[in-house]
Amino acid sequence: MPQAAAVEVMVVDDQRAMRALVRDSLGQIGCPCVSECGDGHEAIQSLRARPVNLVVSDLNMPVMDGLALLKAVRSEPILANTAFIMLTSRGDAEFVKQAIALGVNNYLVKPFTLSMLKRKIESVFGPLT
Amino acid sequence: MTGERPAGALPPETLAAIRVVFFEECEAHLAQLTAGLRALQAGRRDPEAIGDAARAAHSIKGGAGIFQLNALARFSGRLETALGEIRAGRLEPGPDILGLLSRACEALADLVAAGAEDRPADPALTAPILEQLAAVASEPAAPAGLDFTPRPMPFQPLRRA
Repeated sequence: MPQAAAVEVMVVDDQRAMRALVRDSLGQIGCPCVSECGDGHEAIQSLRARPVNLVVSDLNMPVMDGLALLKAVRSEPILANTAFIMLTSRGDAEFVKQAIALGVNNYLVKPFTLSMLKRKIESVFGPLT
Repeated sequence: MTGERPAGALPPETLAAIRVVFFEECEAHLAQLTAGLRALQAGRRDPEAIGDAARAAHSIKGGAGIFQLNALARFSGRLETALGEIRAGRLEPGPDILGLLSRACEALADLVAAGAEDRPADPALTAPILEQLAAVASEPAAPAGLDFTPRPMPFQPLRRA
């Protein structure tokens, strides 16, 4: 049962507004340790140097999308304990199926509420205290 | 949905600040859409440029959904779908479709402006275009019905030097 404050999260999205929304939402549910990246390439470089507990990544991004990032994370032994939640939109069913095949821990459909975000994280790590 | 509003419980001033950023980013998204449309009008079928345009519409849709700008979310979603169909080669961008996309981009810019100014958009301007977009490209299925069990992972606190 992890302490929410101990969960280190990286938010990956090419939109500043969406990154801010996820970061602030994480703060509201007690997870203040949040870093941000604007695409998958930037994210994997950062994760190799400084792993986190959880990546919350958008699916549809330029340069390196969420699926490619998930694949890269799953192929790095140093990131074996990094959980991955994919942010998707309605209509992304085919991509979500690919994310499931690549080992995503859960997915969250936008727009989401704080309680939905918390439930998704708890479905991976167990109840947050 | 649970009945709770999207991003519910975030302080109003936080949401207001994020909304400002969203509309700033919308300007770049609209420019990207216009660039993609111009490429198509020039006869270029560059999948990357069309993909960039579709992603721009997708980004507007995502942000609009967060702020419950439903007309904007619906319209940008339809435009994204149409562009995705062109990219996939299932919709031929002939003169009629290019004309429709051009009108759709203008209407989308009006919808964005209305949202930024917090005023209602005129549905008489957008409804016919929305209907035509729906006629040429149907919405894909939602992922809600996917058979998926979340994958738990043991939490291990990170040790920082």
